[in-house]
Amino acid sequence: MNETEIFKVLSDPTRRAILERLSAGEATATDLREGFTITQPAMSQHLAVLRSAGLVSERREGRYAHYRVDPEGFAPLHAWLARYRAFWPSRIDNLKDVLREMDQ
Amino acid sequence: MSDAQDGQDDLVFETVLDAPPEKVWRALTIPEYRDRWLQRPDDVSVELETVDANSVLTYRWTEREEVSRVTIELTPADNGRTGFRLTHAPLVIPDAANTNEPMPVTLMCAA
Repeated sequence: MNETEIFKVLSDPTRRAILERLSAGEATATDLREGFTITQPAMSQHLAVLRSAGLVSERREGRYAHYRVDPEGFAPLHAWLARYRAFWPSRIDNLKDVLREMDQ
Repeated sequence: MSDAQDGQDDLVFETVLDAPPEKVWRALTIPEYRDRWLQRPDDVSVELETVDANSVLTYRWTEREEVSRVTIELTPADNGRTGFRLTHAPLVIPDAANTNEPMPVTLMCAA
């Protein structure tokens, strides 16, 4: 999954809220539904999308599935951010040079 | 960049430029100047989206199939200088102004 696909998955506010909650620790789908006004099938669907994107992993224990954030899934996104975090400061330095060289 | 904002999770870069907004604007928009500082990578295409003279411009930034948006905001500062703020955000993520949710990029780095 590349960063574009990850950004698409994350464009949904409910999925972002689910990830935010999971970043605090592992949870079951039932735990996760607390505070959300969505149905169990809708929650399952969001979790399936997050899992197929590699952003969330599942651990089964008896009848229950426990979900957690999978940090490795965010690697392409971190790479994208790192690339531009280095790119723009060098461009802004260039801009300062250009401004110095311009008349008026 | 020492004077960048401490936004390690967001692609927001702020600085103060030692030139008035009108001059900065020319450096941003006149192709001859822009090419010199932007040095666009070969796999990136840039399309000007919106323009508010001497104040705000946005570029649609396409890197292969991946689309994002670059916004540059200028504000007049003391002594004929210009506050410069550049934000680079994926296109699919709504603007922070339009949502009460935290920006996902911040969320992900916390995760």
